[in-house]
Amino acid sequence: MSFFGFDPTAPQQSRPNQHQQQQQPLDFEDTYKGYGDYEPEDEDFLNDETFGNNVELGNNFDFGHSGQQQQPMHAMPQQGQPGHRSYVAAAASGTVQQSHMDVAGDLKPMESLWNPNAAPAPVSAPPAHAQPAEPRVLSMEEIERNQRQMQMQPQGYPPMQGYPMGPPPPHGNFMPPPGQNYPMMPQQGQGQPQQFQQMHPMFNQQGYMVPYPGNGPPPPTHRGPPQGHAQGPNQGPPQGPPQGPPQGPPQGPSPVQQQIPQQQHVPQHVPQQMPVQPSQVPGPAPVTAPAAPTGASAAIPQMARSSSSLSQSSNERETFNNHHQRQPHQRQPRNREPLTPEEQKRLEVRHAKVEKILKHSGLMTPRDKDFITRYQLSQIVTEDPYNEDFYFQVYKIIQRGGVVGESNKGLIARAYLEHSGHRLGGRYKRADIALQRMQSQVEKAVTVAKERPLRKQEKEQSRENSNNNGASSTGSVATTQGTDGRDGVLGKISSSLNSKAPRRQLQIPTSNKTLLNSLLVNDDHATASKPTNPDALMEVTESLGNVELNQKSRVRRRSSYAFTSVDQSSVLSRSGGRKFVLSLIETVYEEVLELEANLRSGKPIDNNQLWEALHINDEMYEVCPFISMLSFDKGVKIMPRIFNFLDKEQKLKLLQTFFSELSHLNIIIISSYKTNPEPTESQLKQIDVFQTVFLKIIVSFLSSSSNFIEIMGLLLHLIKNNNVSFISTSKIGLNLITVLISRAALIRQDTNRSNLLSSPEISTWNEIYDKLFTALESKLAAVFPPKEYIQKVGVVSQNGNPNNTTSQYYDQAYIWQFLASLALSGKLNHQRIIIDEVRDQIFGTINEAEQLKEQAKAPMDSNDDSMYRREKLYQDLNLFLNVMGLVSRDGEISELK
Amino acid sequence: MSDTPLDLWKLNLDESIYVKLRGARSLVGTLQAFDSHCNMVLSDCVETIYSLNSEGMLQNEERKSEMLFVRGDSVTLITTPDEE
Amino acid sequence: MLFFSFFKTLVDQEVVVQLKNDIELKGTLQSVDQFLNLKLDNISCTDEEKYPHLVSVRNIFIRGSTVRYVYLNKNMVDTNLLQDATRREAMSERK
Repeated sequence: MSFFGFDPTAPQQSRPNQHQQQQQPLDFEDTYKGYGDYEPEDEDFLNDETFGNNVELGNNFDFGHSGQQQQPMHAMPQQGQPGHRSYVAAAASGTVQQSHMDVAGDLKPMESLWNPNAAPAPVSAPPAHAQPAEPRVLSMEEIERNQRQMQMQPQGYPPMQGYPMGPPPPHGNFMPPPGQNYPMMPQQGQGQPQQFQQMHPMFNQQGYMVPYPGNGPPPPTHRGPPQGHAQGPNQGPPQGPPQGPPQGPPQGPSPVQQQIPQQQHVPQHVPQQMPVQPSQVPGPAPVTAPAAPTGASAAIPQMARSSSSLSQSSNERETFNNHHQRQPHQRQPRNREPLTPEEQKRLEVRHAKVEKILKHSGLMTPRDKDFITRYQLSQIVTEDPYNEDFYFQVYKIIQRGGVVGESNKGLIARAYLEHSGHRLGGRYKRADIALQRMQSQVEKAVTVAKERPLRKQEKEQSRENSNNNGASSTGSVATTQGTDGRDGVLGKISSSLNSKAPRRQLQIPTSNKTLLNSLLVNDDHATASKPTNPDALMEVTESLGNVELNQKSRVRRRSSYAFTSVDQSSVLSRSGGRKFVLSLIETVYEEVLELEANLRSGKPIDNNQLWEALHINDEMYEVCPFISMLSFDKGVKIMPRIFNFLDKEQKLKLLQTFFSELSHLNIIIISSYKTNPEPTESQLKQIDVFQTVFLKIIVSFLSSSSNFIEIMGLLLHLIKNNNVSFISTSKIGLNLITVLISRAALIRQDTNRSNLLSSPEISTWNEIYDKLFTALESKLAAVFPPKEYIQKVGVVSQNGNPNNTTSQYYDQAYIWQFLASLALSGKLNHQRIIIDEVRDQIFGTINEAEQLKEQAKAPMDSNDDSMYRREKLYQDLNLFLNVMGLVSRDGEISELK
Repeated sequence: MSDTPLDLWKLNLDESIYVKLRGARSLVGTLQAFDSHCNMVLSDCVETIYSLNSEGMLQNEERKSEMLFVRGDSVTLITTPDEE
Repeated sequence: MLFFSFFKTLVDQEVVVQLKNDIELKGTLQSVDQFLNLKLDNISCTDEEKYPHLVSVRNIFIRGSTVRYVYLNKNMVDTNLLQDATRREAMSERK
């Protein structure tokens, strides 16, 4: 690889060119060939890297494959060069002829550098530039054309490739002439070809980006030096070097340097020319001076590009050499006079300066530079910063306060927003949204139910606080309903509740014959509209019939949780082991991430793989792997995002599996006081996560897209395959049941109004409810955890302070919600049984509330807390009591008015 | 299913892991992030520093942190902690 | 690039950096690069008695390789997102 990108092994063939015609062809051997023999150049050792490794050391490289023609250039200065073709224009046109012309012009000012004998040349050269330039004022068009060309040219080359490699940004497009960089190379990385390869693009760029009018580099041939002066300041922002010369070389380089201190390379080349020019051409010298390096810098890229101009390149080569020759004596043996003392002095100054600069060269190794280059490039060109920088990008979107619009990024960010709860003002404020939703669902149902007629009997019975069994009064309930009482109640309620008018259908039958009655009532309308799928209903009904058959499987399943063990691994081992389940979860994550990425890029969404990964239908294991996935927090957390990609059928299937295998669900086991009487903190946290994430999914699925039959189906799956009484001892399990039956109750109420339920549906529901109730009957009190558990699990009250010993309490709202839902869906006899079974808890709660009242009287910091909790206790309890038209306050239970 | 060490490590994302480090240190925490250099982020992390006291007895010092970035070049070993 | 991306989100946050030589520095993360070199501003040494030479230092550049830990606050990190970013990284590396 050659530094300049051309093939050093190519034959150095001579090409026809005008110099041949103009001058006597000189014998290469005489002039150039032997040069290396008697004058070894310093830094020749770098030639390999610079020019390729097949070149014999000691030979100057022939940039233009025109070695033979070089010497004439040295010997005889160019004459009569028609001056003023823009360099860029020449470069653009690219024809050999034109280049030659320009080159000749370019070389003029440099003559003195390499040909001290050419005394007349400097004299003639400056006028050649100065004269035409002075009168000449570029027309607007020309300026524009020049600028356009300059803009276009860089585009023709690998854009930006070289940029980051070059000196740091302060240099801007002020790329130094290569001659300046060149001497640094040996210090930076001797013998590291890499560097030269890296430098290559830089030179390219220099050549094409630098020639900006007004820059140091603009060659005299561009517009003539005066333009560089007069127009320079107006034309280009980078003004460094041109400002140098006008101040006059006699001032020496130091002012120049001060003026443009950060453009280290510039002072470097300015003084460099000084020694050569001033003595010869006092006037125009400063003017032409800046042009000199330009010739060099501009030439390099051109050489790299092509060898179109032999005279140019060969001369440039000389220029180049001159520039990087820091020891003038090296040139002397050839054809140079000793420098004048003045020149010598300037040279010394220059060298001192170069030394200064070089001190910092090598601070970064080429590798460092290379890395930074590539890194910077990658920042610029990366197709999709989102992919490279996923965390940062999405994090910032989320931080910015939510997702606005439907941008693709937004789609992804939303996935995280949803379950990280930012929308609610912070990750930690998401507080039991699911529970709240469930609660509101129950409350809504209860609200409707409040409009039911009261049952005085019940009320009286409660008032007496008697131990009487309510069963005795069952038969008379219906008859004791007073129209007045109901009106009163309704009147009161309707004002405080949403404006639902009392409905006739709500006069729910209160005898054992209710079923028949309601069927009759509903039949009238059921025939009119029957939106439900008869097949689905059939299925549900059928499976209902199978319940008994499935008792066996229930027994088998019951053994699986064994009531004693919380051993997570035992559950996991039934579905392939912990590692297997973890790998399943990760596969699911991968699928979801991929789908989300597809969503973002607008690719079609195919959830088959995701569905497979969920292993919903996997019969291979005793416990469905999907259930085991929910044993891990991350398995739970991904659920909402899975749901985004499932269709309704799949969701339903998933939930069916979920409810069927509820007993195996780790979270049920650890949240049941029976199997896990002493939950650890992390387990409580796990329960919380599940509650927050999964319950929410279910609630929203049930309330948005499921119909009555599907809910019945889910409930059936639950009852059929699980030990309901066990599940009801866990908070999660109880909540799940509550969600189902409260939703069903709501639908029934709603459909009662719009008459959408068919009689088979109603009867099926009643059957299912009976099953459920049978499973729970006589164990209802067991839904309340024992005191020890409550003490263990009780949460620290929000207002709790260290002085308050009673600040620990256990929120039993979910239990009352469950009981309310259960009572809501049941008939009178069901309700009575419920009341009977939990009577102790009712009064226990009232007692507790009254105790809190006593506490509140005491002058304590926690008064507010106590009052609040008392309120809460009544509120929760009343949710349940209201279903039956009762209300408790101040230690009493009374009829709801 | 590919079973590179990194893939195995990935299984423990969001799970508790045990990390041994240079300088007689160990960490237990929930793995939140890692890369191929063994850089990682652990949450709810407990660091244990083992040392010998003046009598030459082994003692350890614990330090908790809620979120910790660990530079990978200190890491010597990663495994899952003992189950309770 | 995962952790580079990660640290970029921590810019302007206060972090505690523990170096491999046990020096601990608290400061505002000013910038980070792909080597996880860190620039801290307004630093204070958590154990100034032990390292008095750092008392007067206000900002500092830390070579990434000398870092042992960076202590962070929980609320600086979106763990779900971070886990997924890790998964994405692992996925892309495998491909």
